[in-house]
Amino acid sequence: MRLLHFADLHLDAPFAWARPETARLRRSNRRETLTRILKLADEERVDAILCAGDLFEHDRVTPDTIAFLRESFARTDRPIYLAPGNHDWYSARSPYALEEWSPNVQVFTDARLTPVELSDGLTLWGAAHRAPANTGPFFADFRPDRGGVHLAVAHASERGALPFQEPEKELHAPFEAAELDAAGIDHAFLGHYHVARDRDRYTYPGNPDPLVFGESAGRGVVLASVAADGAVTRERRVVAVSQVHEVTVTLDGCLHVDDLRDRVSQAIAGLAGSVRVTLSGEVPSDLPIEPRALSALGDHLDGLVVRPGEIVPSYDLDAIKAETTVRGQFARDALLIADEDRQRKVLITGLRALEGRRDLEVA
Amino acid sequence: MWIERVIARAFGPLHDETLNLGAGMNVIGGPNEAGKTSWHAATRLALTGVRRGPGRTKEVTSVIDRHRPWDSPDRWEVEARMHLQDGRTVDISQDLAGKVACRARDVTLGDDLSNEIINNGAPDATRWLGLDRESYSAVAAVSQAQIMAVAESATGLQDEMQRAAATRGTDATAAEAIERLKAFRKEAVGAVRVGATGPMWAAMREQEAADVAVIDARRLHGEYLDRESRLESAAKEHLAAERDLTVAEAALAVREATELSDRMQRATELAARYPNAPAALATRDGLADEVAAALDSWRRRPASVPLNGPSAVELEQQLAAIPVIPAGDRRPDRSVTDAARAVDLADEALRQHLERSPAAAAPALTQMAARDRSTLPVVGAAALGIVGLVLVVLGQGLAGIGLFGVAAILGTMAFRGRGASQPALDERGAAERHAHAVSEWESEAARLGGSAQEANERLRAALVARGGEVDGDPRAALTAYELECGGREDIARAAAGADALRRAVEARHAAEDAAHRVESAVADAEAAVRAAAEHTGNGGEADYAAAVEGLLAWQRTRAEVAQARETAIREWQELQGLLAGGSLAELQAEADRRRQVAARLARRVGDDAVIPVGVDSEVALVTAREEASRSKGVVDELGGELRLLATTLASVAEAEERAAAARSELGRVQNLAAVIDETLTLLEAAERRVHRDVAPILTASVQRHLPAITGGAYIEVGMNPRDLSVDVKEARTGQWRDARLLSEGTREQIYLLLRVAMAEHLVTTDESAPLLLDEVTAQSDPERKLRMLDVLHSLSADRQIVLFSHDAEVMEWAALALREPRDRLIRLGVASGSTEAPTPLAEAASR
Repeated sequence: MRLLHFADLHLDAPFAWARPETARLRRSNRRETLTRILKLADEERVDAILCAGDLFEHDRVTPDTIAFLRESFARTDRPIYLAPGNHDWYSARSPYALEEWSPNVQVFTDARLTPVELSDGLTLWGAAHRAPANTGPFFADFRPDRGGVHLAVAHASERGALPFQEPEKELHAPFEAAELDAAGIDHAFLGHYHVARDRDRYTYPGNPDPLVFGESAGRGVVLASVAADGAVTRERRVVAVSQVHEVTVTLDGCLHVDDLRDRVSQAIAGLAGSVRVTLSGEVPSDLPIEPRALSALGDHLDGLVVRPGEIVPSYDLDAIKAETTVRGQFARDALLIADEDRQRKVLITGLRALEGRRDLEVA
Repeated sequence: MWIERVIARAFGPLHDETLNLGAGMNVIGGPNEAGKTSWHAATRLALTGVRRGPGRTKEVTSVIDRHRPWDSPDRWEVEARMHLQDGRTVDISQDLAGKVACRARDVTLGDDLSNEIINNGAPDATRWLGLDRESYSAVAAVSQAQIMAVAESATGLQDEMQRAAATRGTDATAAEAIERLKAFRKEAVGAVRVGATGPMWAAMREQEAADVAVIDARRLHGEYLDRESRLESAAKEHLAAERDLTVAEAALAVREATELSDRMQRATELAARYPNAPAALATRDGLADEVAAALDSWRRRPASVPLNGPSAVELEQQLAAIPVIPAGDRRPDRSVTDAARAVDLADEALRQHLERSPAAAAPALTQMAARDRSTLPVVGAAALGIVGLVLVVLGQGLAGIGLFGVAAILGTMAFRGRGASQPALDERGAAERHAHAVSEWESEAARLGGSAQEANERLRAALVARGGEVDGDPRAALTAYELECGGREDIARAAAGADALRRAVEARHAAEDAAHRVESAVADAEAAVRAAAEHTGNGGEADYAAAVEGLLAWQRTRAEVAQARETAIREWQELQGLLAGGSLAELQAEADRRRQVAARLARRVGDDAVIPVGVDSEVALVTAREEASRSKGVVDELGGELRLLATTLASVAEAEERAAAARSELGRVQNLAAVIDETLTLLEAAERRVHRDVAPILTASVQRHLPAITGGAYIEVGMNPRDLSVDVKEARTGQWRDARLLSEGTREQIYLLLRVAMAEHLVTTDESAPLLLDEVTAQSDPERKLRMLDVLHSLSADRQIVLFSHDAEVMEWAALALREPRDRLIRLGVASGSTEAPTPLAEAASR
């Protein structure tokens, strides 16, 4: 039995950092990613496709996206098993309930594991989130009512894996890894954690298309082969359409804006997709740094975000704060500001004002 | 710090020339083009170097442009040796062209001190002062232009102080910086109020609009899901309605199939019964009509009426025998009877009067007369009266009245005879009264007799008028009249029976006519029956009743035949209707097809469907169709609304992205506002504090030399900590004066003192800053100039002063005032050719 497992596509999720056209492109990339996933399933001739939740975002999903899903799923004959997650929870108002899906699509609708016979002696158990939060454990008290090999597909959080996830990640339908063993689940194909994770009894494929900057590698889909004894062998495939790059540009030695632009342009020259540039280093105090203006350098990219990092203007602050001048007094007072970012901005703003400069907004 | 010497390796017109200086006051003089400005610049740049890269001030750029070697621009070098307060002697080399071979070296130890004072790529010896090349130039290097600026501008002095206090004179004043920040805040943040156009208000509005857009987008998204849910429910209802419609159609199909099957069965029966069309019924049947008419006339024939009594002829004979009614009264006429009654009444009145004669009314008198005479005459009179009265009453008025009169006279005489007797005269009176009564009675009797006579006369006249004959007593004529009337009455009564008899004759005639007609009708009916019987072949019947019975039997037989034919025709027509132009086979095929349709519809609604029977299928079908149509309408309407909504549905993600961008922008502006506000707060506080600190220092410093430099004109100085404005106290008047209002010369003097004081204040190390003064006395009159030079000489006790001047008076003062080795007077000369070279140094002491 060969399965294709994916999760957390998050169709129609917003991109708060992006310009409208970039955001639309990124959402379009998600759809294309699904197309790649389904194509891969055909190429690999898998017996079934498992989606472990967060296929789309219930609060944002557009009719067009639902139409796209419906038609995409209808184009393949392979069974598709959907286990709604906390972002695409199942309800009477859910597209899962309202749309007429092709016969090859089966949506798990109960908040408890229910079975589907994949083949003789091989049972797939699936469950659904029926609310955006407070979904309880699926595996804690679960015991199969039959023999054979038991697989599961669900949107659930293995507690032990939480520290390896993005900081803001929350637990939904939490469980302990040992519960799978106790429940007699040979392998659980899961979603929710975006950082890919393979363990003996469970798999998190990770989000197949990048959602944010700085994501770890290895995310995509999992091609799983299930042996007769329930043993699972996995193969990871990258299906992402979006390219996302995190770049740090050191500005040391930049003496003027052209240097700065050249430095950023060189850093992003060979890249494609979405790029986030973080500026750092020591720069002349009078070097104007305008991230928004620098974002225009990424015309060849899907999106370019330039943000200031550890930028140190080359003020001789020791000398300045030793002055008996207003500037010295100001510098001494400004350096007392606890918040470092605020301190930096106030200090530079004041010094620039005293220099008679007009570029008083500090990035 | 003091500079021992400056070596211009290549600087402007100078090549490998050296300027040796003392630690005190140095006056470098010479005419124009002697190189004073070049040495001033070389000295300053030997100390500070120039920064690498961009960021040079205009002033530095100007210096570079002016003092790059004219003949070898790529070699531009200057050196200096200086002594520091900590005892070190330092040689500093500035490669001003390549900026590479720049270094500072400890002469004693040979250490490279460059890193200790490196500033923007070049060693800057002013760092040992706590300054930098820019601030040193601004504070310690005073040029003629600066002096002139202060002299020419009323606020120049204050501005210079503020600038120095703020940035050591290198940049803006604190006030300028604050104003710039405020202006920038106004431009980059703006006001927060309705109608504002600044970025903050715009960002707030945008965020509000974006948040509203998010709410709207989410609401519409929710509405879309709701509508989709409603559409789903409506679709399910429609599906159920369609199923109900199919059930109704199936029920109707079942019923139609059943009906067709029944129809087929009936048609089969009829077809078997009528393989061919039956003969048509005759439109007219004359014999049947004749029989019917004969029977009808027979049934309508009248019954014969028997005639009894005399015939009309006999009655007419009886009528002819009745008499004619006689003329005259057949009963007494009223005029006669009235007149007769009047006679009776008059006679009765007379009779009654006669009965009331006085004799009868006076019995006492009668008794008295009896005593005197006999009563026989009275009684006789009375009896006569009564007879006369009776006669009158009986109609014999005259006889009666006559008799009555006799009786009255007789009675009167009898009464008088008795009255002549005495004794009792009293009784005479009564007799007289009695006589009177008799008289009156007699009068009345006469009157009544007249009346009776008149009544008789009128009776007579009445009888005559009625045709009577009155020859004597009217009463007899009356009796005759009455008898005649009775006779005529009897005859009239006999004549009265003629009318009844006449009517009987007429009635008899009518009866005899009717009887004749009955006989005629019966004869006609009998003739019709007889003829019909003959026409129907039953002419042999003996009587009419039998003939009629025969006709009735013939008629019944004939009706049965017609009925059978009519039935055949009706059923034939029914068959044609059942076949509807088709054949039995076709009808069978249609019945089969209907059954198949019913079965197919039943399969469509499912095996568990119950097809109702016995209901009004058409009504159920109409109801189901209406419901299916209605539910489809709902589905179409909701579907249309949903599609329309889908086309206008805002993207929640895009709305959220817009809101995020708005929040980011608002956050940026808010953060910028906070940064600017905090910067302003700190700057204003720093300004207040520094001004508060520097004002007394500068005041004290200036105070020491003010009386001397102003020749005692001003004896005290004050400085406002708020804006560093300067006031001086005039010695002559004791008045405080605003320094801005003083003469240019005085402002120059005070400015120079303030610059020295500021330089002293701004140096943050233990070193003292050498002052490089270029033509600072140029604008002063001789007296002020000398006082200024004296003050500078005094100040040089604490710091090195290098004064460049072309002024001969200055040179003369220097020659007299300066003392080696601490002080130096250096005269520069004009070299021949195109270059300016210093002349050999002339020692003041040698003069």
